[in-house]
Amino acid sequence: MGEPIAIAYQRVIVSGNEPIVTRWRYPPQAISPCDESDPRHADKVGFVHLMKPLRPELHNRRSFIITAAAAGACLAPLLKAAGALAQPADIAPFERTPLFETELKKLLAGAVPTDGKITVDLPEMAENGNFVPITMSVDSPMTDADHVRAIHILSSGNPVAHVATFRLSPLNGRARVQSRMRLARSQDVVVLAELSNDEITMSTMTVKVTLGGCQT
Amino acid sequence: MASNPRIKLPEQAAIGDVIEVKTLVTHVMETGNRKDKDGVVIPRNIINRLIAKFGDVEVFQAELGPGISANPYISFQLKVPGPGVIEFAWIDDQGVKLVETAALNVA
Repeated sequence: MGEPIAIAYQRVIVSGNEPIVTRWRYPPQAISPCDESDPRHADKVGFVHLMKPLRPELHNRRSFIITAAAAGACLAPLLKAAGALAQPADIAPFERTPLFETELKKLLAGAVPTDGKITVDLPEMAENGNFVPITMSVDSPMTDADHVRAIHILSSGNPVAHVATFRLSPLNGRARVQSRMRLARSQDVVVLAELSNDEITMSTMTVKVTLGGCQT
Repeated sequence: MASNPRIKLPEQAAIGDVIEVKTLVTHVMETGNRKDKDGVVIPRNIINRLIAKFGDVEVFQAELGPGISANPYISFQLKVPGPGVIEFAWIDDQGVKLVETAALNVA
């Protein structure tokens, strides 16, 4: 008993009468939100199907408490097993796609990237891969002599590695850009900044994604 | 097709101040990887470019890929050059261009 059950209990209460328990983890291979041709989409709306709990009988609060009390220790392994399935088994979580490597090489063009000038603000854990806020700032005076020409975002796990390029100039006054990106799965996000002296500076962030964004 | 552009600028700014310019637009940003009910791939349609101009001068440009979320939000910084109008243009894969302007008030 103990911690996992307490959390699960709270989550069921939050969901009220709705047949959705948002905090449960589900095996994504059960149904792809990206593929509506999957027949299992037919009687469901959007992502609701994904949110179906593994054990619907636990929905009813009373029976849940009873089951939880009785099953006790059984529930923790259940949660753990469900969590383990959150990543498709055939993809190693942080494997970088060949497309990413190509794109990175293209942007670097032989240069050796330096470290430390970019600050990237990305959540370590993203629940919804469809909307992941990202803030990039580069430590630069943004003068004619020394400024940031471009900031690139590359994704190592999306079907399309190039996420965005932002073109800046001294007119911007400060090198800081914000946006929201999609992440198909847990992966490294690489941000590169091209400086006016042809230096390239790079920062890598690792993000864990619970529910992957329909991708790129 | 892009619609409902929203731009947020500070109400007042002084010349030389660095301000934050926030932009948001409604667009599906269809990635081209999804399939519809019949298993047919939904063609890619994203906003691939956002261009911001102050007068005739381009002050910011974003080249976007399908890895940017639907209803793209982008914010950038701008050193206030003076009073004037900033013109924003969003261009999507179908070539549709949405233009919106915002006045920059200088104290």
